[in-house]
Amino acid sequence: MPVIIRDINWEETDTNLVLHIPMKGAKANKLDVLSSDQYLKISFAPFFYEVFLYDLIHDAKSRIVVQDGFVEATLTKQIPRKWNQLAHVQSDDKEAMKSLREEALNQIAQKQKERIEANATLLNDNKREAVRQQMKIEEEERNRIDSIKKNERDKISEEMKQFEENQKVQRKLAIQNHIKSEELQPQKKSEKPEQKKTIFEENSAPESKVTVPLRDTGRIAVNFTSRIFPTPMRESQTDIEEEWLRKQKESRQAATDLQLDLSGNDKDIDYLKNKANQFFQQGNFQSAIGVYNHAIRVFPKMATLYLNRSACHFQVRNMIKCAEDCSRALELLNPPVLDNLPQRIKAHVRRGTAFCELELYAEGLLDYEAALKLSPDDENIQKDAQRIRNFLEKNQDFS
Amino acid sequence: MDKPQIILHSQKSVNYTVFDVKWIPTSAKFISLGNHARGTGALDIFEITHGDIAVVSQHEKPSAFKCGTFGASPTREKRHLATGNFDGYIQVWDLEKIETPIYSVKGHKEIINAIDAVGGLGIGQGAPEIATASRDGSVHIWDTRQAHAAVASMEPAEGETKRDCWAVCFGNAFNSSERVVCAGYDNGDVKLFDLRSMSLRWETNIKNGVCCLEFDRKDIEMNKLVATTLESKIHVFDMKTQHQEKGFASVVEKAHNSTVWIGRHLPQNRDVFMTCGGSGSYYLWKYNYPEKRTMTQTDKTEVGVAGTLTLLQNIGLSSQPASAFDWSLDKAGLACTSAFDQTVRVLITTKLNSI
Repeated sequence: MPVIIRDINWEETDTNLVLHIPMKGAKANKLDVLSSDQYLKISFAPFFYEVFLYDLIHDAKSRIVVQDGFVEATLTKQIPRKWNQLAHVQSDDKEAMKSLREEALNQIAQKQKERIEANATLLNDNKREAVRQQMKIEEEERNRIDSIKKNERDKISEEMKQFEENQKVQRKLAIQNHIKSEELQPQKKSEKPEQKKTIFEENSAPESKVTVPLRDTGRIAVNFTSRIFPTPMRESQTDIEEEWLRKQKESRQAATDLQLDLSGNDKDIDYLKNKANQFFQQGNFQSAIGVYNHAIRVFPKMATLYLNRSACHFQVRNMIKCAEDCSRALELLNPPVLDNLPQRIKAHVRRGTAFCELELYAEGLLDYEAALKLSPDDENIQKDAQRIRNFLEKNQDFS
Repeated sequence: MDKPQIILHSQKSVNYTVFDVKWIPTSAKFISLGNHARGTGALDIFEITHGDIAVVSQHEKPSAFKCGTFGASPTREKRHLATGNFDGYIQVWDLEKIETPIYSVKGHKEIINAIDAVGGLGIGQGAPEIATASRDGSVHIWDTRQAHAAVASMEPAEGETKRDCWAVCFGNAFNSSERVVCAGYDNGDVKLFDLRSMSLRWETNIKNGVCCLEFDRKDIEMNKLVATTLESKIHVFDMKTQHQEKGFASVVEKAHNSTVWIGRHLPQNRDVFMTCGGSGSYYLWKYNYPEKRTMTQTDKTEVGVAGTLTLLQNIGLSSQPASAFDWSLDKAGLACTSAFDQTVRVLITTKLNSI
């Protein structure tokens, strides 16, 4: 509940007005003051004092001081004359008062806004000025450096001109001397070294007439730090490369180690062939290859092992190894007799397919035709051979 | 502003890929070697006149050039350019009569990646010789007096898979019998071959393919060797002291944020060198020697101590890798360079005497 203070002590001069408003326990930082040209409101909970002044005052020039127990307001009049009363004539009229109050509040709000705007523009201007100063300083620095550089460049163009001239002159002299010395060679052989010395101070040693013997031919065999990749070595790639190599090794190990317990039976060819077959049926081609590798180590001259291994290589798309194994098998299947006919046909067909997978169609066709020669009735081989021929013809037009 | 400044003096665009540029001794001219789009070789002669680069003459040869050197030119007046091309031919051209080479031999089975020469131009004692490094893994040494066959070869041993040899350089030619050849390979191998004893003197692997090798001077006892590699690494080896197991001491620096294609020492100061990177940047370095260059170990053997590198200046000139760089012997700080953006540039480095 606010305590409205109505009657206060006040004094006036021509120019000033002093109000003493009793507010017990008032503190400067807890005082709420609203003032305009003709309105003054001071509130300090629970005290409340407002007055509509008789005449206008200078709001900016007025002061409020908090004394012990009361508030002293010193207001500067706009028009210096005696008022004889403090409050406005219409002070008792509630409606008038209300409108006046609103007006006063608007005025105050307006002033506030103006003040803020003024501050903002001042700030902006200052910032812009600062930036401009900064830019000027940097510009000056740049200009300074540029002028130094330009000085250097100019100095150098001078030096370069000198240099060009010197070189031309020297070259002319050299040519003249060379010609002169060539003409007068038999007589002036001894003078030649001295002439050269005076013109070319750098070349202090006279031209040696004694030729150094040719070096005895020699050869040094060089060994390189081993590197698996054909690309140049880069430190940043070593980790990635080692990772890749490790993974390759692991996968190869894993494939072969897995079920390869051949300890008891590793010399039994049938066991090995069965085991490898099993793996092939299961789709475990790497293990099959592993078994065949072992078998071949023990029986290096058995063609079927190479043939079967080539089938495994084909399944894992190692076309080159497949072709190699087929070739090895064919070598071993000499002499060509009826017995090994089916095997030879298989080898040719498989090698032909491997070549085609490698896009070596001409070689593939050769193998298919060899297979056809061995077995002219096989329709499948005929069809495939024809397909390759058509494909090759089509591509001939392009190449 | 007391640091050396690298200033671009002039540049010129050409219509072929430039692989090498070299100053012609005793002149303000330089040559460029490259590859036309049609697969033929380009050999152009440029001259610096009036602050600009002018074309003096242009020549086209049947096969593209990869590298060249004047190092085996018998005198500074007779300009003999030794080149290696994409077909493995090493040829020597007399610039006065450039129509046919004065020496030509199919030295390698594949492209010649790098070439170096010593003994000519008054640099290095002994016979003028040319070393070529090729993709077929071998390094051959040629003498123009012997046609058809190399005087020395460093080839992969029997049964050894070959690695590309990317870099080669001569060194230690301080008297007529001593000479070493250093070769760098794409698997990071660096091998030092002694030509007097025809043996492998030292080898190491620096874990990144070696793009360029250069001794600080060819005609003194081996002092320093700069190796620039892939992955932005620069190695500087102190070649004064070789330890039995540890070899030569080295300092490694990472720079350019890209492959470091070239490292070239300033002819007038052997502790200053320029490196050129795949990002088109050029870094000027100075090598600082340590207080003591050798250290005695507990087992009484001596081991070398590597120094440090300080970056003096750097500049970025193009967006493409620099393919070649050559300091001029006649004017300190003058250099010509080329990049894969089909331009040749002339640079000048100032304040080099303040280093």
